[in-house]
Amino acid sequence: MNKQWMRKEGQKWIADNIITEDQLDLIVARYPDSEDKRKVTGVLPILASILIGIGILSFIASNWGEISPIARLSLLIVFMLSFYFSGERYLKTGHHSLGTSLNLLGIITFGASIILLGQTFHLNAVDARLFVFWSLPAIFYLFRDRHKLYFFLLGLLTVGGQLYSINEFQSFSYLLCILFIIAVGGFVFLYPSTLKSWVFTIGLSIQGLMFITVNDINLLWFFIFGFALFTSGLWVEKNVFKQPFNRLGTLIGFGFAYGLYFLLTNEFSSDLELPNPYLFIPVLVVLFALSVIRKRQENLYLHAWELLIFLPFFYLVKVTDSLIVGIIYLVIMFVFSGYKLSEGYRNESRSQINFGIVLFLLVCLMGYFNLAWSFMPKSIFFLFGGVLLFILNAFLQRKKKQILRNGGPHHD
Amino acid sequence: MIKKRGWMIAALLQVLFLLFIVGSYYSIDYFGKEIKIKTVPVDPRDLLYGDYVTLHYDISTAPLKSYEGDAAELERGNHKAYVVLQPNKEGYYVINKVYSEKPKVTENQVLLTAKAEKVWGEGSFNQIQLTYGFERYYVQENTGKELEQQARDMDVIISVAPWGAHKIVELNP
Repeated sequence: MNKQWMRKEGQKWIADNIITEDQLDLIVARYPDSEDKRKVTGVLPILASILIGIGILSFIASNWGEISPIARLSLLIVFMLSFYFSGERYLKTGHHSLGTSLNLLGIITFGASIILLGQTFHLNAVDARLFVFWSLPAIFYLFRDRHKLYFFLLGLLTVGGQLYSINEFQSFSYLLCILFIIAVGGFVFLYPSTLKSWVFTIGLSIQGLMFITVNDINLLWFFIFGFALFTSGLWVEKNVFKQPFNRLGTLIGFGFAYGLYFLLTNEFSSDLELPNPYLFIPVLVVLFALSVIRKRQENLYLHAWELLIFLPFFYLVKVTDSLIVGIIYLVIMFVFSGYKLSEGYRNESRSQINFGIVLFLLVCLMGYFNLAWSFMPKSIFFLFGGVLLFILNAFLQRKKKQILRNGGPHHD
Repeated sequence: MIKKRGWMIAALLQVLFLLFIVGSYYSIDYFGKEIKIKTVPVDPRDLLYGDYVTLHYDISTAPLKSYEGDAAELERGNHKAYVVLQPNKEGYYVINKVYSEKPKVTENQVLLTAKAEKVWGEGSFNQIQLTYGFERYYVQENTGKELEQQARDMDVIISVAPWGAHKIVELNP
């Protein structure tokens, strides 16, 4: 409970004659802000142990040359085991954050050991196997203790490992991808949490994007990925996945509209390569059918406009001028974000309105940038653009406040 | 009991894994066959990244015609290939042939696995770029500069175990 917030909110109650000044003081006093204090003191040992760990590892690394290989190995093993051992001790005595951070250091030491031994023995990695092995203890501790620190470490190792694999070896690690889906996805499935499901969805999209780029597949297949994500958001039974799948899918679709508009209204439009329509269109049609069926089942038939953003207008460049197709995308984006906004107003949902406002402002900014950049003096351009956004945002926020005036029945 | 001791088993497995890395390295000493390969000059700017030297060998590229298999597979890059080496008159191991399937080798030949990719070589004819996994040699910090001068023309002794593991034994300027 945030005391400051409570006091501020309480002032309104006093103004409305619900409670008196004294009563507010009594109410606030009932809730000691001990939780905040505990948070601060809980963070300190974590920070301290991380600093100590980094100190030890960098000491070993910088005096590496003077230590014989076998001594190096023994040192690393001793450090790793003592981190795990003391972590377990603290967990048993109820010091959860300290115990967890020590175990975390153990896992980090394990990975650092593999890397340092690899350097000692001139072992050259040819794939991302290192990260697969490194993830295993993180998975063990995650499912045993269910602490969110392990979750983020695991996400970092699986997604970061994938990026490393792409960067270093130009190859996609299927093993890491499977590990990510099973361990990270499985954990969110078993122990739902909004933040974690977002981490999973973003990680999944990164894996998908990496797969498409490294295999030299047309980038528009990532558009399909976004649509598939959106569609699974409609079908998935688990509530925790619904919002991230829907939002990120929409964002990917919107991002493509954004990019295509920019690409097609500028000179480099000839760079646009279309994916094989005999493969692409059927997949798109299936996804459309699935989305519409689901929307009908849930009596959301009127909301089918959401699918507007996933229509493949880019194929129109075959029959008409690319500039026109680009303008179509601009119109689509305006219509889409306008609908999103009005839907938010109708549902009186704060998060939907915010999402709509962000999308709408993005479209305005993009349209303005693209149209005005070439013929306006740069200083005026920025000044005018800034003022325009400012006014637009103020207007939309005011509208939001009006709608949600009484707190509003919001569904976030 | 198992639940309580779970972390010990996990820790033990990690220790075993580290020991395995080291063990597999030392076992090459006992079972491996040493071969000598020549490095070729590379652009010094690409030679050194921090504390390791990048080595480029004359077996790192091979003409496309030495490839036994479907050359179209190599267009996509990073295809697994089997490289058969045999010694030349000066005692350096050079490429005999590159296969897409595991071939049989004779007594004096050595089999290495590599990632193969088709590239445009010198004189613009087709070549295969082979990556073996011993292209890096880690050196102590700040000692790379001297090696950088020498790495243009060195002999590298590599030990290859019968199961395919390999390591750099020596760098001879």
